[in-house]
Amino acid sequence: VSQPDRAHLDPDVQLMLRFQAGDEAAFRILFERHLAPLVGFLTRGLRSRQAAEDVAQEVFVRVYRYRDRYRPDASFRTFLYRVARNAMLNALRRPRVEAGAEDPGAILDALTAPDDPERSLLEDEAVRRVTVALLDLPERQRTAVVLTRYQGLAYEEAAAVLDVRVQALKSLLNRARVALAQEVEA
Amino acid sequence: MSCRKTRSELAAFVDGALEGRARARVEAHLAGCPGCAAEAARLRRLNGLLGAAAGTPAVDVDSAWLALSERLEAEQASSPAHSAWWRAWWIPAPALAAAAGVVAWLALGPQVIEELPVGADEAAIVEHLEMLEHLDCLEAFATLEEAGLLEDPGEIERALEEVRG
Repeated sequence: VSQPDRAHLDPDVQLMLRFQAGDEAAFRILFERHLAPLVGFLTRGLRSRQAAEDVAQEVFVRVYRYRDRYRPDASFRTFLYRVARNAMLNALRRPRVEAGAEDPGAILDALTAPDDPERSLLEDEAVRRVTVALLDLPERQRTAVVLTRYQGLAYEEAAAVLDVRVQALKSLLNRARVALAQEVEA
Repeated sequence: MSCRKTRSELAAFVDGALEGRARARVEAHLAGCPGCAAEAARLRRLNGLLGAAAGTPAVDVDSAWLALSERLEAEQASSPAHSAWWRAWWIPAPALAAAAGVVAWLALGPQVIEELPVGADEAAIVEHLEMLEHLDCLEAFATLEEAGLLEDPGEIERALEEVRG
């Protein structure tokens, strides 16, 4: 998709351009659209719902602060999750966040609402095992899977977030899938 | 197409991320290779399991927005409307250490990069990539020192020592 097409087609890009032009209401819409998925991404990465919410706020502070650095040749989600991954990696280096990691059961509960029909699916042993195994993958493999399976990013977008070529992303995904399949079948 | 090449594309294939000729090549191989076809079925089942756990957490957006707004307002209130000129050049300590690593690499040659503790400062480097645009200024540490930005001029040398290991 060419740059003019992306700017024309992607409502997030339109919102970000409006925000850059001074429309703060556009920033609120972006916040409302992306907060919950972002908290999900960070919960899987930080293994803590509380830490995820704290870091999500930090991510939007940075989006606000660095809005002028966004260019519409990248999707807004690429921009958002690049910022989010950097914030997550920084947070993981803080002993307090590492110590606050929750057990997998609590994390799985935190990823669904109490009345969410998917909650019953998490009771399925195989689903539970693969979800827990995902949390234990090396960060780059886990992030590759989460971005493409749960955040809905295209391969090109996920590769840009991880700062790798698409072929390297495929390699990360292949290694992750092999590890996850082995865990499920063990 | 070999089994090895097919396997390297299989995750992308089951994710629907292959199109056109690339997809057709994998399909043709799978049609004649039971081993790779079984692996594709295995990955599809795994995708199904991952998809079943694709929950999005319930978040109180209004409360989160209020907290964010308060923080942004507090930050704006604490920074003078007409920032001092040097604020534009202020660099957080981790970024400074990362910058020192970059300068060391430029000064000592690419072989040094293999010795850097990449994991330690990778995030800081990635986060502050924009500072590379101002590398000429970073190299002129005297400028920073004159501007009073370096409380301890020895910090740069220590950072260099640290990244050198």
